[in-house]
Amino acid sequence: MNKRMMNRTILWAWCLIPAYSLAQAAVPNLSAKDIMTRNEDARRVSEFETRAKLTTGTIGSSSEKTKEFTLWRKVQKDGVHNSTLTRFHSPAEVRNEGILITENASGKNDVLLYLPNFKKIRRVESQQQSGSFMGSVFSYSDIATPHVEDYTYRMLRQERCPSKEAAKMNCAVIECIPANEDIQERTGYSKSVVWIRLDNFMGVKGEYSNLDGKMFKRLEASDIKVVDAKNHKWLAHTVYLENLETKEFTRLQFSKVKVNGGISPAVFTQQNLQKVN
Amino acid sequence: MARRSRENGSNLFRISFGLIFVFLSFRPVHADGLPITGRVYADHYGYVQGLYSGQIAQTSLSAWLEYDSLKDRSTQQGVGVHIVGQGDFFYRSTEQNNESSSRALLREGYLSYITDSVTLRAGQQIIPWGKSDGINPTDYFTAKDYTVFNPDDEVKRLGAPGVSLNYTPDGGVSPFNVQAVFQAYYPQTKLLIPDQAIPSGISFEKYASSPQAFSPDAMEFGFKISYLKPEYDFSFSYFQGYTHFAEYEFDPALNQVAPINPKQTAIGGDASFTAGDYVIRLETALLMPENGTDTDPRFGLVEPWHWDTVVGVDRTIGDDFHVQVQGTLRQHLYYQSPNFYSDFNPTQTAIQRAVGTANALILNFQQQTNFGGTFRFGYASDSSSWTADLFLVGYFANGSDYLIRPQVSYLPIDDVRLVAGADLYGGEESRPLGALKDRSVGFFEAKYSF
Repeated sequence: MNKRMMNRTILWAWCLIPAYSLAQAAVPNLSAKDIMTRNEDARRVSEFETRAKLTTGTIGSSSEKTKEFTLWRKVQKDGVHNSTLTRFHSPAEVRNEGILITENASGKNDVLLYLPNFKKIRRVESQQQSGSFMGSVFSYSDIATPHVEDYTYRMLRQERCPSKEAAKMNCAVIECIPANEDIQERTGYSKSVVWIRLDNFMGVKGEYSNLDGKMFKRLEASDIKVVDAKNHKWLAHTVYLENLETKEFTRLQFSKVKVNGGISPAVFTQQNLQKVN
Repeated sequence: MARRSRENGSNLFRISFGLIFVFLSFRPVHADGLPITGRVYADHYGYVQGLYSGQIAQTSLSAWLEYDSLKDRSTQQGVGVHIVGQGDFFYRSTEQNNESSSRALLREGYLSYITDSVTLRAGQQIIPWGKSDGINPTDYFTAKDYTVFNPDDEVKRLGAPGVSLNYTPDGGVSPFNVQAVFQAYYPQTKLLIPDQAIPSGISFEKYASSPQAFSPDAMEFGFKISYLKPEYDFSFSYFQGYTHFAEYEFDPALNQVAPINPKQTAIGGDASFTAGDYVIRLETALLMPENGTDTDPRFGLVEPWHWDTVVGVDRTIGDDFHVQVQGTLRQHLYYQSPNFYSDFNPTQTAIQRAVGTANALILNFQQQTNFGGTFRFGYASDSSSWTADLFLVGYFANGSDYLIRPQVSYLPIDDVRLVAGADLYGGEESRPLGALKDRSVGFFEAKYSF
């Protein structure tokens, strides 16, 4: 191999190095907060609409209950916080029920619930937001998105990702502590430990401790795909959450994801929440 | 006779539940976008105390069918059609002389035009206003049929044909919202009128005939201006129409007592906000029925102007429990007891006083100030398969009367809910809720939604 050819091979090799290797190489210089900032950036899609399937069951039991809904999400004017609307399609008992979640900087999200049978909107107060979201293991707060400034972080270690689809990747294991009592009350978590992939900064696993400090929920995110290649945005299409105390689990699956399709801000208003009947 | 009536009711009860299970076995696979949805439900109500104890109050089978041409009203715009039809078969042992009856009604049927800023609806519609739970002073436009028993009070709600326009400036994102409503006639609330409220020796018409649509004596109009933020909201409302609760009027020429719905003007407002772990709600309205002042010759006999206020607070306890407390206050701006009414004819005076006393009992204007409250304690299991709810309403000024409503529901499979409970009235029998003591019922409902 002559020198010119060798140089060309080195150039090609550089070009072929996957992005995740670059990311992993850069990780030693990143703090836990830097990684979580990149995590939020990777999953912050400016707006998207998706069909969602929420399947809840108990480990060891064959019976499962499924709820289907559409979710619309849009980043607010501040560029950080989201507004989220969910509208249920099935089962028939909850058809047209809608939930509007407006995140805000204080950490106290505003949650409004529309009950079509009553044609009325009900407010969901802060403590209730840590309660079950439509009978699932997820809470209202889990459906909203966590933000970097809501927590303080500590890097625990780096290790291979505990995920089949990212088994060859490295993950940063980071401890997250709520930044204030409001966030702790709203989420119902005193602490969480998350595994963040270092190639795309998406979370693949989480362990959550209740207000007594006992770990009681475990999350696994999979089917992580690029949804906005231009802006390097990703979405976990399957999120599995298990309550270790009750042995209940919920699998949240997204499909028909439409990104940046031009969702009107008017979708995320009380007026729209009660438009269905 | 009583045995035969019970057998008839039991048969209808069995047939009702049989039909639900037949329907279940053929239930449609819920495809995405199935245009017709609805519910089928069977109810059995039995009196549990007093005069009618042991008798069937109602056994019924009902079906709702709903069609909506817009698959997704959250984001779809344009013209749409929304229809909800209802059919019922009833058997009642006490109200209808052991006879079965049926009815079909259009609950809602309207054309709509939707943009980000505007929602325009024309046709039969139900427009419930108000933020508080169960008692809504600003609920000017709807009525309720209390002669139909159902665990869900919203099933009793009645609408009317009309036009409603909802407008939000700035392409639908402004916190300001204006809603204007026109109704072609006033819907009428039907009350379960206690027999002891009916004066003897005269002709008595319990329920009024329906008003004529678009008649100048029946049309209603109102508007509401709201300011709606995610963290709080409030609104002001105005209404010009009719009282939907009828009051009774004695006609000496015909020696007849008949129901009338007087004209009414109202102003009101509501608000709600979250304060930490609490949700606070307020609703208030000044209701000014025609003839409701001290200058009216029938002062004391008909419902006076009154100011209704409800203030409520609710919060969650733990993961599964929910508590709500509401205080209610009704202040009659003009008040006189029916017993102070006098006419030149002593007989007519006695009848007028009796009719006025009946009005005061039915419409709850027995004293100038009436305060009370509601209390709700709810439970929902983690999966929401089991729910339990205890609801109490009571009035405490110059004596007391109350309603206790415990309810338990279970969801054995998706779409099927079983509900059992009771409506228990108590307190002094001369008061609105105490007078319904004999109408205390226990019930069971099976409902299938599709």
